[in-house]
Amino acid sequence: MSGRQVEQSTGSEDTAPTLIDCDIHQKWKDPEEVIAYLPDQYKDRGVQSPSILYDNVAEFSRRDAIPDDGSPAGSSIEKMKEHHFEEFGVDYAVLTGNSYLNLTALPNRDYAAELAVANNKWVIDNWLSEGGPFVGSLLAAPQKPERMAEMIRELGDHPRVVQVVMPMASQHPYGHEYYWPMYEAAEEMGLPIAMHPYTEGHGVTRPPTGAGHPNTYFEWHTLLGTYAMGQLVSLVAEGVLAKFPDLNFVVIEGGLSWVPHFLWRMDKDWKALRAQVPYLQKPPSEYVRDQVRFTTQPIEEPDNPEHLLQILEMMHAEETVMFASDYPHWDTDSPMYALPPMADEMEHAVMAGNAQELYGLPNDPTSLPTN
Amino acid sequence: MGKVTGTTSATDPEKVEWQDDGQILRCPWHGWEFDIATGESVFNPHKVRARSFDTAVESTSDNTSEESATDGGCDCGAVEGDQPPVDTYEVDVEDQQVVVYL
Repeated sequence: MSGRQVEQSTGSEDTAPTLIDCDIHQKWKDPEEVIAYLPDQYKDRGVQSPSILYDNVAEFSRRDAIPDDGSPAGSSIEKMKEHHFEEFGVDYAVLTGNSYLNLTALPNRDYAAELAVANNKWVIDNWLSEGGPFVGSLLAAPQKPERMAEMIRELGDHPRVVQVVMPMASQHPYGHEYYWPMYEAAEEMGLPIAMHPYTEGHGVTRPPTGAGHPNTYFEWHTLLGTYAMGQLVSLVAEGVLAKFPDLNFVVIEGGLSWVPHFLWRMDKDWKALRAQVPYLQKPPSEYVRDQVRFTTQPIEEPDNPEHLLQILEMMHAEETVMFASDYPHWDTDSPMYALPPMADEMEHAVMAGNAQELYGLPNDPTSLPTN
Repeated sequence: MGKVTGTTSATDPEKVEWQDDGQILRCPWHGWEFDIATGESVFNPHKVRARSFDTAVESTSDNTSEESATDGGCDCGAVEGDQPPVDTYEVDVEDQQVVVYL
């Protein structure tokens, strides 16, 4: 498969971005950096969250992404720029945070919410203030929806905050009205809500697969998309997309080849079962097409790349798909080689155009204020 | 015969209402909903419709049932013998009768 060309010049006033990477994981060198932002009553507790129980024998972060000083992968802006942004010509890097926080795995809602707020203030002060290609996400602990709504209204107007990220795992399926105050705030602030996996099956979350707790990380990781399906059908069927028509959702790191299957099944069942979801005013798949975006990583790799291209066409990738690498994690997808050759228009939409539109990004990243 | 029922409508996920009770016919095979009067489906009324038949409820004093019954017969050959060709059911009609014009 031939790779795509690296654009040496990043976006400018006249040139639209050509590569927006929608899943970049930044990390602190030392948890004390975030603890400084915690309310006093939690400072002694520090950053504490149930960790993943599945061991990745390939390790979770790339060894070649570790900075020279040995600090954690993703903790050095300089290393990230040199190793990934300049290497591939990344115009915008959407920071999606440290998924190791596993916020929904925490049984204590109050602490989880304040840990989210502390993390987000740290991101704003230490990463978004850098400007350049960085735009970022507010991590949310959705088990405390009113507090998250308050946080979204308080921090969400930062010019480089472009979305809210919830863990893919939750105590209730995300369509539940319990979470709606948070959705209302995000819609009001014009921020999409993304879901990112890692927490599934840990702490107080549900089993990571419909079959229960698997034996290996291999199984856990293979089935990431199934958890996304459960959350997405809930968001559609409980009427979240219908009730909040200006709210967008992003499914990160679930892959995407399951999407046509999922959309077709919903539309088929809706013909007979519509009476259970009467607030849907159009076929369910159309809500997804209009309001939900999918990032590419970890992209599926069929023996025949043409098959992946067909799937992209089935799910209207020219509107719905956004490139993501997941740098610096072990399964980082290359911006050059991960996707099959596409028609120019679709390629631009997937590699940059859809994200630029969703996040409302100007052509010139340096024109975005840093505070 | 499919189930004759009603259906739901809502402008908001939190305000679901029951409506058209007795006006909705569900297809006996897949359960799709149709307006019993027009044959229009609920999920896509302009493109998906069930075949509809002119139907009237008429008084027995104006009994034209024998005449009507001969109008829509299928052209599939005469039935031989005393046994009916399909399952039949005892039906009593009192005072009024449903006449389906095929």
